[in-house]
Amino acid sequence: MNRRRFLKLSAATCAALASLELENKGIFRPVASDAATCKGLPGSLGAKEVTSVCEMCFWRCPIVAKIKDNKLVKIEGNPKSPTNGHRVCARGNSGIQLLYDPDRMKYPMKRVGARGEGKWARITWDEALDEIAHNMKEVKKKYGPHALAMFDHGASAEFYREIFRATGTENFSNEPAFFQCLGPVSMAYLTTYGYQVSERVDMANAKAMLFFGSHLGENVHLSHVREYMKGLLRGAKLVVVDPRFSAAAGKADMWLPIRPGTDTALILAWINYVIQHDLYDKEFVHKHCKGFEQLRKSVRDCTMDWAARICDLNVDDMTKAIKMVAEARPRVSLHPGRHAAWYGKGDVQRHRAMGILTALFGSVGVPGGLYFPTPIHLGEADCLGEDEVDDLIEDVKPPETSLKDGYAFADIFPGSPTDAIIKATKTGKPYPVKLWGVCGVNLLQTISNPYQTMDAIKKLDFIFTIEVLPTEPAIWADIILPEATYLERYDAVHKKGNLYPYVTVRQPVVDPMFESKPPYWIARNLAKRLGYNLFTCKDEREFLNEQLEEIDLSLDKLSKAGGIVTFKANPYKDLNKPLGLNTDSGKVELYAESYDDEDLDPIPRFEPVPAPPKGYARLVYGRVPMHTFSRTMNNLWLSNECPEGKLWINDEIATRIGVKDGETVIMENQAGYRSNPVTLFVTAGIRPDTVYLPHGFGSRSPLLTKTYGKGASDQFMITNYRQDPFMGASGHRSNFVCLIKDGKKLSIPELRPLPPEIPRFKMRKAS
Amino acid sequence: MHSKISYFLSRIFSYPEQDPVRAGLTQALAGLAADMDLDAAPSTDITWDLARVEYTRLFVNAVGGVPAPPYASVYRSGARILMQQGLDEAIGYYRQAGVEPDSGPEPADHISVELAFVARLLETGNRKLLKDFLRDHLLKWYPVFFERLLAAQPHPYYETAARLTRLFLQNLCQEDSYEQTTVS
Repeated sequence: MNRRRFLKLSAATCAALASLELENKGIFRPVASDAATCKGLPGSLGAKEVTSVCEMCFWRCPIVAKIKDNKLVKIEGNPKSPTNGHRVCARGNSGIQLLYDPDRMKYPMKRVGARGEGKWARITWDEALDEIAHNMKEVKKKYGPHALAMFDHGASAEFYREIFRATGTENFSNEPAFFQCLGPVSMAYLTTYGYQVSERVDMANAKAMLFFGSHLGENVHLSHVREYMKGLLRGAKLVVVDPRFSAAAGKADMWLPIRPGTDTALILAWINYVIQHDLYDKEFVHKHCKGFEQLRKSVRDCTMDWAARICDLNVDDMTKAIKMVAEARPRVSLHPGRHAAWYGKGDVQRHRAMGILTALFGSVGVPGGLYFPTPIHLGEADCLGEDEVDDLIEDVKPPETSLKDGYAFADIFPGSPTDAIIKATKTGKPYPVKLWGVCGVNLLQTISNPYQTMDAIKKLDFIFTIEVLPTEPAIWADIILPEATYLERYDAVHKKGNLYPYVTVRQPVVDPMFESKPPYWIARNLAKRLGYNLFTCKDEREFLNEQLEEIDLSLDKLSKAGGIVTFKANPYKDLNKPLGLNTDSGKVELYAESYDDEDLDPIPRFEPVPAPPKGYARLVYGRVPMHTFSRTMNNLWLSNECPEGKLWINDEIATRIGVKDGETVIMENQAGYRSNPVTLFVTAGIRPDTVYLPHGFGSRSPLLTKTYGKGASDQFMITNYRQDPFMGASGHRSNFVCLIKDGKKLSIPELRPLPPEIPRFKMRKAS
Repeated sequence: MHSKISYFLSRIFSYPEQDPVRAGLTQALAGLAADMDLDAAPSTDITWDLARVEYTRLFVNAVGGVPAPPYASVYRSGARILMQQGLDEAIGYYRQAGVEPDSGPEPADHISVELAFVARLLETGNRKLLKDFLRDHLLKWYPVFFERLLAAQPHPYYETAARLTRLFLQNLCQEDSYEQTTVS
């Protein structure tokens, strides 16, 4: 085409163009005078600094964001923070790659294809919220309030939870991460000590540490890992009980490669041993514990020989280890652990046993032991509307059969067990569940048996998700709402009442990109459509200031103080006075009467879990320091550092079945489900009856370009599970795999003999 | 009239807020294609719903990732993320013209914003800046964006718009050098 033609348009085209509205004509305006740039200064030099709080994991380190030309250029730790100081971990650094990820959710979306097909149209916020509100009302009208269910997690969940609570459903929250992770350990320590001990264990001042299956150092909770390292640097002994030579085992004085599922036997034998050999703190037990005599009697048959056989350990090592720990008492950090939903059955009791052993060492309220939180009393933000919700749900009848039925202690926690909701959705029993809201949780990479979860989703009338990135649940959603990342929003006042108490807030370091919105805005506008008078503060600033007022703070004051205000810690107790714990007796409950009332063992007993069937190894899983489960997998920098997890397998097994380090295989579980290809890591650092895979890889969301299909997912191998009888957590470690290489099935030989006390998992015969 | 064409293309690369047929966009697109000797498939069968779904697939979120993210940043630096060098460049040119885009939902290096900027330069007759902007920025990334867009087999409506835009920008660039040579 020549220039003449290029210039020449037909009259019709000219007319057509002339009649068009050219709405982009006005989008440029004269440049504002303050558009100063810091060009010429390299890197983050000259950048504006905004303090905030990280959310790359839930440890939530205080951070400083460096902003240049309205762009985030770097993230560092807040130097005023008493915990992490100027440090952030690899993930903290990589927040910038979440903010600017082209894959992120940008606009509200509506599904236009079949559910799960992945076809959408961008819609407006009005359309999206109207549709959600309409469906919530319809489902409630048709099936009653309990047909609505909310799956939530994270700093933004509080707002949405309030909306679902207002509907009257008993399924207003089931924080899957709680029910699948911390639930059993929280339950155990609430019973024993009257508070959620969580990670409140003073490792920096310990003389000995004892871990059961810990991923410390592989899951980097920055300040926590630093306290642990400080303890080690000061010479603390470390005993690690784990079927795998973990990062912690690598730093340990003793590693006890225990048979999976037998930890409680070992702990009971140790309890018996320290009682028999006077290695416990008699004064502490006498003054502060209830039920010692019952405990002593209950464990007296748990001998070291018995446990050695069950646990596949040798008595000398077990004895040496417990002596090493007991000699350090009371400065013993017996870590309560975090992810505790291993076998369902027995998980609470395993952590009860750990809590009891801690008490026998007197490691409570003293340096080096369990410590107590320092409460920071924020004000209630009236505008959230909690009273309003109480009025709204006053007349709501509980369902005839509750999803909490059968779980004696589920009532202590908000919402219903995740598993019960999923099963009710799938089966319609005991009552139908027809609508799900999902916020901040990847249900398919978190909950046991994702195949069942997908079946349940197919039965729903409606499902919406609130997402930063389009993870697996988004693929199934009818409506997806784009939530602002943690770098673009206010959400909550973040307080830590640990050894270095502080208050800080998350605040936007840049404006929300595209049409993503902060949680307060989303919740407020959804509540309005549902006719709930919630979230009456005009914005998040008012909401946050209402809470800060109580401790004579405000957002402005915090900002002037460098984004963070610290308080004096009060972690230890005067053991000459009663502890005054929030337990039934006010003392440490070695014997739990409340369990007895529910026909649960008041003192832990060892109950074996089935061993792998012949030809299979047990699949356990853990963490890598570059990732927080599936949620960081699409992060360019982190994916580059660690694109996929490797499957650990014992070297002797590898030789016998003819596989080599670095080879690619496929896992097949006991039910015949197969994994993505996975690379082998052959090592002496794992038991022959166990294989190990870091969690969160093997994404099944094709919307995540940097991680889709990379590596294998442990979660999609977890199809067999049991509920814990206390609050309904699903166990994750009752699954067994064999390997497939070049299409050939490789049976895992059994190298360690199984004692008669431990049954074997029964394979279902193919019909 | 050139600025009108550029505003028009800018509008097509914005999210379809109106029915493209009713709003006269398909007709204008066909006319332009014919006038510019572009062998384009007819795109009048595009419905509003289809345009929304197709725009979403091509430019917002899609299975397999958006085939052609419409942002300079994604193409102008190795990191392939938003808000990087491509944006800095674009804003640099806007500021040379003494303007900045309204803070809309899209970053300022979105293709529709850059095409609106081309239109503005044509309107104001800022040929020198237009040439620099095209040569050193927009035409550095548009061809890659174009290839990726076509590889995703877009609806003819978007394919024609993309082809037309390529032709239009190339010609603007050439026209500019032609004029310069005649002047000198």
